Amino acid sequence: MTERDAQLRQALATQVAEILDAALPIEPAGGTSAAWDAVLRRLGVTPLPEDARFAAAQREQQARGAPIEEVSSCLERVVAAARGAQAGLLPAQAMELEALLARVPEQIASQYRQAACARPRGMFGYALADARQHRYERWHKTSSYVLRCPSCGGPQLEAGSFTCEYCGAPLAGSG
Amino acid sequence: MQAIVDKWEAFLGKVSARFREIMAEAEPGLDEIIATEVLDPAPVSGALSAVKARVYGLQKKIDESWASIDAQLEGGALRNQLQERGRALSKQIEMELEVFLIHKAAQAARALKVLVDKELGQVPRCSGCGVDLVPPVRHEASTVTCAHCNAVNTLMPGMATLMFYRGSAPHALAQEAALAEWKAQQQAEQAFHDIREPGPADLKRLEAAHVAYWRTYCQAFCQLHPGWGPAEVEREYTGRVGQFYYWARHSNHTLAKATWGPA
Repeated sequence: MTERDAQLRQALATQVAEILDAALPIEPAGGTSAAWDAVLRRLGVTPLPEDARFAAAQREQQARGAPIEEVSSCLERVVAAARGAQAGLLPAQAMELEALLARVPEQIASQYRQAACARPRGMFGYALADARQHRYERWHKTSSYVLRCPSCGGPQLEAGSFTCEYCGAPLAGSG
Repeated sequence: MQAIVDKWEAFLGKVSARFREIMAEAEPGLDEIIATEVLDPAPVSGALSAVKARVYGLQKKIDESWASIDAQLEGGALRNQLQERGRALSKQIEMELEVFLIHKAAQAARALKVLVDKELGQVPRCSGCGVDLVPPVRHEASTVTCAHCNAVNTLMPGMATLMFYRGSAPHALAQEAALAEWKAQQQAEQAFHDIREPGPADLKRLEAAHVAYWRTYCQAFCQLHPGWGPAEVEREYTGRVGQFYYWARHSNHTLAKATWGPA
C-alpha cells in the first residue's frame, strides 16, 4: 500500500465515522442536531423536509438517528469525493480502492440501519442505555466565575455593584 | 361453584408469581443502573417508572379478572371472601412495591452522596488569579471576594451537590429512615377506613400514626440540610402533618368537631 493509498483510505474511514457519529445519537428518530446539520452542509446534502424525515424514520422503524436516506446520501457524497481523488494511485491500487468504494454506501448504510433500529430489551433496556450516556459528567465539578467588564475586561470588585471600578462602564445589561 | 373458586385462586397464584418475577428482575436491574449513573436522574427515574408500570398492570389484571369472576357469582359470603382475597393480594403487592421504590430511591441518593463528597473535596479557585478560595457554604451557590486579587467570584457547586440538596435525595433518605413509621401509618389508615363509623378514639390512633411518621421523617429530612436546626424541623413538621389535620377538620363525619391537634 502506498502512502497515497493509505491517506485515501484513512480519509474515507474518518469521514464515514464522522457521518455515523453525528447521525446515530439523534433522538427522536428522524430528528436532527447541530452536528448533523453541519455534516449535511459540509457534504452538500439537502436535508429532508421536517415531515418527510420523521415519516421516513417511522417507516424504517428507527429507534433513533437521522433518517437512513440522509445518511445514505452523505455516504454517496463521500464515496464520490474519494473517487475523484484517486489520481496518483497505481492501477492495481485504484482497482482495489474502487472495489471498496463500491461496497461502502450499501454496507455502511446497512450497519447504520441495524444500529438505528436496535431497541434495548428488558424492563430497563432504555434506562440502562440512557445511563450509559453519562450526559452530565462534565458538570460533575465545582466551578467559579468572575463577572468582567465588557468594555475593559476588569473584574467585578464588589458583590452587588455592577459598575466597573476601572472604567465606569456597566458590568451587565445596557446600563 | 368450586370451579370458579379454583379458577380465581389459580389466577391469584399466577399474579403473585409474576409479581415475584418482576421484582427479581427489578432488583439487580436497578442496582446496575444506580451503579452506572445517578448524576443524571432520568435513568433511575425511568427504571422506577418501568417497575411501577409493570406492577400496576398486574393490579389492573386483578380488577379485570374479578369483574369476570363476579359476573358468575350470586353474591353472599363466598363472593365477599373471594373479592377480599383479590383485594388483599393487590394491597400486598402495592405495599411491597412501595417499600422497594423507597429503598431504591434511597440507594440512588446514597450513590449520589458519594459524588457529592467528591465534589466537596475539590478546592474552588479564583477564576481571576487562580488562588484557593474558601466558600462560606458548599451546598449552594455563593460569592467570595478573592483575598489576593479582590475579584468577586461566584462559586457554583457541582451537579451532584445541587442535585442532592436541591433534588429529591433528602426526601428519599428521610422516607427510608421513617419506613417503619410509614408502614404503621399505612396500617392505621387502612384500619381507620375499615371502620364503618369511626369514633374519636379511632381518629386519635390515626393521628398518632401520622404524627409518628412525620416526626421521624422531618427529623431525618432536616438533618440532611446543612444549617437546619430544631426551628426548621418544627416548620417542616407543621407543614407536612398539617395536611392530616386539614383532612380531619374538613372531613364530613362527626369527628370534625373533636378537639385535638394544633390550633
